[in-house]
Amino acid sequence: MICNLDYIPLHLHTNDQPIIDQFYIGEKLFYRCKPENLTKPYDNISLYDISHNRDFNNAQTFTENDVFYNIIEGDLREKYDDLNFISFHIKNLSKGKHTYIKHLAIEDLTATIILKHAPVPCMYPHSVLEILINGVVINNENYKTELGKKNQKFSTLRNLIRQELSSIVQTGFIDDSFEIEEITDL
Amino acid sequence: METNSLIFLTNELFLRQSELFGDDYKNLENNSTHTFNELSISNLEDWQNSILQKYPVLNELQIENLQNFLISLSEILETINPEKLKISEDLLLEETDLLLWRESHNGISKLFFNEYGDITYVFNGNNGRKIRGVFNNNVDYEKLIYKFLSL
Repeated sequence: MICNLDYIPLHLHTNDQPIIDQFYIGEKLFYRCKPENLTKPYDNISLYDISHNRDFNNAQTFTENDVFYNIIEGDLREKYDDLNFISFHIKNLSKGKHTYIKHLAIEDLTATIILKHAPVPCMYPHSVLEILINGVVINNENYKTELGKKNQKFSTLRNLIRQELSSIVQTGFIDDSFEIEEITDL
Repeated sequence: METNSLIFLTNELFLRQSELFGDDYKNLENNSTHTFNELSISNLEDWQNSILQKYPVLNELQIENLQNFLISLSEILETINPEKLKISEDLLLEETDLLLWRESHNGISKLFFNEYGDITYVFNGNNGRKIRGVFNNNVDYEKLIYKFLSL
């Protein structure tokens, strides 16, 4: 993957570097977002295109400022100066797991949230919190038909996903040892 | 004393408020407790009206559940300083859920009133703990408020 944007620092060029499936305890992630996504209690967070940068536990090389580079070819803007970022770190991954994976379910609907390293030519540390519904990866194009349906079951599933994501933003860390405690009696 | 009771909640919140707000709270207690109780109920009505005006998309089920919630809350406010509850409201745009939420030292508690008549209680702790319960309009609102305020 060759980067053709000359303003992108060399350490961000992917070239022949591999995908690193393993995420590390203590590793930081930087999520570029609109200022309104930083507003408590964080429930209006987007449920698709949740992309961010990882730092590979190498804070000297991969910094939070990298997320502001515009990597869209043909777009004159080099940096997103009007956006903010939040950072969170990986606090705990269950034994034997290489990344954060969370499974949620409502009746016959299953949702999986998975943290993946997804390098692109001009942003090697690019990663995503990918959401799959019954195995289908959710993106901007299919969101309405696969997850955004207007009915109670899908609404409940979206709220479950939001609870996971808003917890990460609120706490500033990923810790997969906490499952949602479902209560039926008060 | 039964721990899951409004009396316990009242005492516990009173103690927490005393610890957190120290002298300010003492002054309120000494000077204007009665006034605060009267104001609180009046403020609840204002609050309800402001919510309904602010979010005209709320349907009848949501409004009915909100009213039931506020009736129970008004009973609790006889004994608790409402200023210290710090309940905020918001609208979850995609779902048109009414969201009431409050932040404590432990985390953020939320109540979602959705268009289908459900009320979802959510707690996200600052330590990563997550709690969730979905209830219909037959829920015991006093217990729900206890849950909402207790973490």
